[in-house]
Amino acid sequence: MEIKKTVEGTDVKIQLTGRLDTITSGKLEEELADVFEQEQVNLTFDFSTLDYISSSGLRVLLSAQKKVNAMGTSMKITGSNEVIKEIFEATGFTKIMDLE
Amino acid sequence: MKKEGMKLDGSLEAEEKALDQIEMSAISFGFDEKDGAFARLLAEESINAFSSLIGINQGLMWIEEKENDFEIHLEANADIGSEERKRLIELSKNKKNTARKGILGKISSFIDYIASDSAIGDNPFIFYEMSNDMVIYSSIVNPSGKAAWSKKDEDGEKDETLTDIEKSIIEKFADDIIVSIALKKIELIIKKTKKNKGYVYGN
Repeated sequence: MEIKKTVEGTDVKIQLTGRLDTITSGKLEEELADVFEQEQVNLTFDFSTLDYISSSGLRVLLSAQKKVNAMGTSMKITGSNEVIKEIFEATGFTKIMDLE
Repeated sequence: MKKEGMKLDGSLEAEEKALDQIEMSAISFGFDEKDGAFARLLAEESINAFSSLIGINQGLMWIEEKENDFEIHLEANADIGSEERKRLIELSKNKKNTARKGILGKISSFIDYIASDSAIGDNPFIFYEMSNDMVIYSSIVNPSGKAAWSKKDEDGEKDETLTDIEKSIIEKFADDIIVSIALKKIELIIKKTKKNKGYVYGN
């Protein structure tokens, strides 16, 4: 999985390419630990080139959402494919996250 | 048709290799790319479920193809407690231990009965049948047992929410989930069925 991060003030955009799963979720976790060093973060995940997500990836997103909620900022996910949308629906993530 | 088993040793490398193999097999079986990804997802979540529900992260995974059914088998050989047994059985569609027939299956049903008064199955005469088999059993079981799977060493705090995520994914995308526990032999079978796309001919 490739991670591309762009930062503009408090706005952080993370584009993921490949699979977000047990094998790669640790890499995103490390990247987010760095992102959350900032006091305020408005986070956008660009999933337009992400093929697949598993529970390990969802766990990282859930943790990020909790941190953003605690900061009182925002987090959204854009560009999910059909496979990922179905996984979000199956797990109830559509109800707790801002998906575009 | 049973395909060659893939050994999982708890490393991410072995897991990735197995998952790649499952996805390729699913495409060869006739699934489209989307269902191939879901087959991979089911395999990954079954490994995660074994780890989170019963604390095991090593073992053997293989595929069996039966007409329209693509089955992912995950097998462990380890001692698990009654709570772990209950949690794993709860994952199955029929909420039962579908242990193989024979003495090991009967003994396993007896253990389920002790652990939970609802898992004995449909045979009220099982204890009578078992009494005849118990003598044979005592002579064939090796108490040390060769462990093809080992229990996970680290026993971090279990997060119920995360376990629920894995369960939700498996329950949503699997057409059947079968759990078979016969003493130390633990097997999880996740079945995904090839759907008829429903071709329409003429007007």
